[in-house]
Amino acid sequence: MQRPGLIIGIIIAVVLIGGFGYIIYNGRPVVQMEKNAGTTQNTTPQLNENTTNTQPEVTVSTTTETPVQPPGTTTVQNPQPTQPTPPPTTPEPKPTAPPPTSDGGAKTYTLAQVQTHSTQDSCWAAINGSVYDLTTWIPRHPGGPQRIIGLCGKDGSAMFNQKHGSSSRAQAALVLLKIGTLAQ
Amino acid sequence: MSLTTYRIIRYTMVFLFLWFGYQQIANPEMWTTYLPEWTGYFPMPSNMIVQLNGFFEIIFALLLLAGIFTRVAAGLLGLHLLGIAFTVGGAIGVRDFALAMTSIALAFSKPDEWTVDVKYLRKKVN
Repeated sequence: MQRPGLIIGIIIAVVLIGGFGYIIYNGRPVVQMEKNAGTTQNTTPQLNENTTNTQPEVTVSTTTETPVQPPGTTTVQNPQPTQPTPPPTTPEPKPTAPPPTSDGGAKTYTLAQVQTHSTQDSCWAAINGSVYDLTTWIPRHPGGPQRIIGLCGKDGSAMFNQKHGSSSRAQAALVLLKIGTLAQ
Repeated sequence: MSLTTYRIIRYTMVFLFLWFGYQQIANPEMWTTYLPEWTGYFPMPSNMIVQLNGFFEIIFALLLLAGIFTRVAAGLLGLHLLGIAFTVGGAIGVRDFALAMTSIALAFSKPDEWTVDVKYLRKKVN
């Protein structure tokens, strides 16, 4: 091979290896979990602390002095002013679902939250106390996609331990899909 | 094959692989459904596999664009796409098979004058 071609080939190899290394380094599961924890903390719904139920001050004026009336005349007392009805209070916004708690980068989910992700497009499962996002694993499962779809939104600890309890490869593949821990 | 035909096919394949490579890097979650089952044995997340695949396509598409190791780049991209065609199957597989054979045809053709191979590395033209 001529020298310019060799130099170009070396440059291409360096670019390829560098690019692959960059993608692998930034795509590590630990980095992804830290990113997810950071984005979740920024999007957690916060109640507006400024909304307080305050009633306007109600003042009732009463006349203390009565006019002098000549004898034989009837007086019509002015009706007392009615208290103004307080304006309807704005109801406090109720959060629909409790946001996941964060504990040093690892989020905690309840089983109810896992059950809301029970479809093939968003498939979560709780296995052995941890929560996993199995959505991208469905087409890659060596045993077929149906076995994973059957675990969506459920606690799959029994099924996983029965099938892959002694498989280090399955355990390693599962670790890559972890998104948090299951709240007890 | 005339030089014009060669150039049209070459730049078309460059555009094809650049676009698909960029889509895989920018939105890897959209492409994880096409991963075959045997990638489940890889100790890496699905998104990472897709992004690595996209990066590979982009690099070799750029080589094909510049005309550096043109035949090697075209052949590798063609074989790569051929593998995807047989893995995915169906209508998508048929389309990818045709595109793969086009790229392999480029690998069997000598590069044109608009390539670094011919201009600077002094390789023979048609």
